[in-house]
Amino acid sequence: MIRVKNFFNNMGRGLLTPGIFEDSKLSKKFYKYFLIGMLLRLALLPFFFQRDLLSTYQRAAETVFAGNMASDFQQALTNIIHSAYLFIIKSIVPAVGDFSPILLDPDTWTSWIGFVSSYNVFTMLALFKGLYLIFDLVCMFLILRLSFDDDPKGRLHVFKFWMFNPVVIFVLYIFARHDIIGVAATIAALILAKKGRKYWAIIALAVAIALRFFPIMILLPLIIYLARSKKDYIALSVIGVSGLAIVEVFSNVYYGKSLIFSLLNTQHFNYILSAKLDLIIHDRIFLFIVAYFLIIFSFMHARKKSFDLLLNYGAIIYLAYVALCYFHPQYVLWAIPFLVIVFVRRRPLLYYHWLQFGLLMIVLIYWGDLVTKFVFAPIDHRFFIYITGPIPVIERFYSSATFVNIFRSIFSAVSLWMIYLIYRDNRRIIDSGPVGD
Amino acid sequence: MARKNIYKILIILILLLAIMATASACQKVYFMPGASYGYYIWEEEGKIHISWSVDRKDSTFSGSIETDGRIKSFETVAWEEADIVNTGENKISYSSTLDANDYTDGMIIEIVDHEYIELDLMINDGYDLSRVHLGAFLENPGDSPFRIEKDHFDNVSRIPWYGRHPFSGLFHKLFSNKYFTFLYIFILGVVAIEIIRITYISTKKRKYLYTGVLYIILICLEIVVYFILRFFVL
Repeated sequence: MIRVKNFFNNMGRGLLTPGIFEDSKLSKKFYKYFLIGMLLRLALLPFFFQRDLLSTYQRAAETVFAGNMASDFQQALTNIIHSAYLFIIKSIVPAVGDFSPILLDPDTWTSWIGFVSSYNVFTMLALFKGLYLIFDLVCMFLILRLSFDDDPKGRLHVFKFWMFNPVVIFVLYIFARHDIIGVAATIAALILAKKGRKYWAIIALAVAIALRFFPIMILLPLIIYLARSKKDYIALSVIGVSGLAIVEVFSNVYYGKSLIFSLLNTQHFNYILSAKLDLIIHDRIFLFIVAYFLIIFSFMHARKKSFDLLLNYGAIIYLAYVALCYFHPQYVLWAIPFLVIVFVRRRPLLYYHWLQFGLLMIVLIYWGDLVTKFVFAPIDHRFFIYITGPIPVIERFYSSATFVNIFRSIFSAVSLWMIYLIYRDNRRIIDSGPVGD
Repeated sequence: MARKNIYKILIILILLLAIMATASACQKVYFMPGASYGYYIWEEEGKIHISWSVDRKDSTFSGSIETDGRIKSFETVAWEEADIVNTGENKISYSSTLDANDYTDGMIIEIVDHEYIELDLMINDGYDLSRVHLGAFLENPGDSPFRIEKDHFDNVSRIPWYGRHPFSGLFHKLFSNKYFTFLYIFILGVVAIEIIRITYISTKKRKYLYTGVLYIILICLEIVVYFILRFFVL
C-alpha cells in the first residue's frame, strides 16, 4: 500500500514539479485548472474541424490502407506519426476501417461531404483529434518546466495560461491542425537546452524542423545561446540542419525527388517573403528577413544570454513573423509556448494576446467558407453549406478584402506592440531587475 | 462568491437557450438581399411572398407559379424594367435578373379557392432545390416542379425548434451514434463533477454523499437525454 502511495506521489511530483506538488493549495489549483481546461477541450473535441484535418488523415490512410509511403513526402515524419496513430485506432475501433472509402476518395469535395454527413462523424473527429490532445497533454506538462524554477506560483500561472490559451484551444480543437506535434518537439528541445544538453537540444530541434518548417526560425538563437566556442557553433549548426538534411537524403533515395527544393517552391515558403519593399528593377528587400536578422543581432549582442532571454527572443521572432508575413491562423500557435512565459512577468501582454486572438477570428475570414462556416459542418452539413457565409454578408456593404485587411493591420500593430513590450522585458531580464509590472 | 458565479453561469445558459429557441422558432424565412442565395418563400396575412436573392453575381431567376384556384391579387417587389412577368387567372410566369447592384426581386400573390400551388422555380435555367426555402430555411422541395398544399406554411411553422436545422442534424447524429454520445456525456459529466467536488464539496462534512448524489444526477441525465432524443427529437 505504501509502495503504491509512493509510486503515485513520485509520479505526481514528476508531473506537477515538486514545488507545485508539495504545496496543497497550489496542487489543488493545478488540478482545477487541468480539469476546467480538459472540460473545454473535450467539449469541443467531436464537433468542429477544418478541411485540412481530413487531408492529413487522407494521406495517412493512403499509407495505412493503400500502402503508399510517398503520400506526403514534404511532411514525411508528420505523416508517419498520423499513419501509426491511424493504424492503432483502426485496430481498436473497427468503425475507422469503414471510413476507408471516404479517406481514399481523391475528390476533395465528395470525400468532405461523405465525411461530414456520416452518422458517426463525431466519433471519428474525437478519435482524429485525440492525437492532438495527446500532444497537447505532453506540452502542458513540459511547459511547466521552461521557466520559474524557484517560483511554483509562476509555474502554475504558466500552466493556466497554456490551459486557457484561446489560440491553443482554437487551433487544436476547433481548427484541428497538427502543428502541436512540432510544438511539443520544440518545447522538448528548449527544456534540453535549459538543462545544458546542447547536442540533444539541437537534435530535438532538428526533429521539430523535420516535423514542421517553423522551428527553423529559432535554430539560430538556440545555437547562439548554447554555443560556448567556435567548435560548438559549427557542430550545433551541422546537427541543426541535419534534420532537414536527413529527410532530404531520404526523400532523394526513397522518392527520387528533392524535399528542400520542393519546399522552397511551395507557396508556404513564399509566405516568409510576402512582405517586401520593391526598390528598382529586380532589387527588393524582404521585410521579415530584415527583421529576423535584426532580432538575431540583438540577441547576439545581449550582455547576458539567459534562458528567459532566449524564450523572449523566440516570442519576438514568431510575433514578427505573424506581424509581417502572410500566415495561416494555426501558425500563431508557434508563438504561444514563448508567450505564456512572458505573460507571467508582463500581464498586460495577456490582454493584448486576447485582442490578437479576437482580431485573428476576423482575419481568418480571408480564407472563406472553408475556415468559417464549414468548420461547423459536422453538426449539420446542409445547414452550414447553404447558410450565407461572412464574405457575402460583408461584401454586401463593403469590400470584404479591405474590411479584413483593416483588422489585419490592427493585428500587425498589436503584434508589433507586443514585441516592444517583450523587448522592454528583455532589458529587465538583462539588468536582473525586479519582476512584475 | 461561488454562488454568485453559479447564478451567472445559469443566467447565461438560460439566455442562450432562450435565444436559440426564439431564433429557431421564427415563422418567416430570413435572408439578406445581395448576400443570401436562393428562393425564399413564406406566407404572411394570407398572401404568398416569393423573393429571390443572389450574392451580387449576374443571375437569372425564372419559372412559373400555377394553382388550381384563382389568383386574386398580384404585385411585384423591387422589379426592374428588364424583368418580365406574365399573369393569367391561375398562372404566373416570370423571368428576372439580378446583378451586383440589383440585390433582390420578388412577388406577393394572393390565391383563393385553391388546394395546391405548383411552383417551377429555376436559377440560371437550372434547378437547385436546396436553395428553395419553403416557409423555413432548408425546408426544400424534393422535386421540380413541386406542389405545396394549402396548409403547408402552417405545418412548417408548427415544426418545433429541435426539428429544425441545425438542431435536427445535430440531434439525429447524436442519437444515431448513441454509444459515443452516452460515453461522451459521461466523460464530460465526470470531469464536471470532479470540478464541483474539488471546488465546493471537498471541504464539506458529507462530501461522499454529495459526490454520490452528483453521479446519480449524471446517470439520470443520461437517461433523460436518451428519452428526449428517442421520443421527442427523432
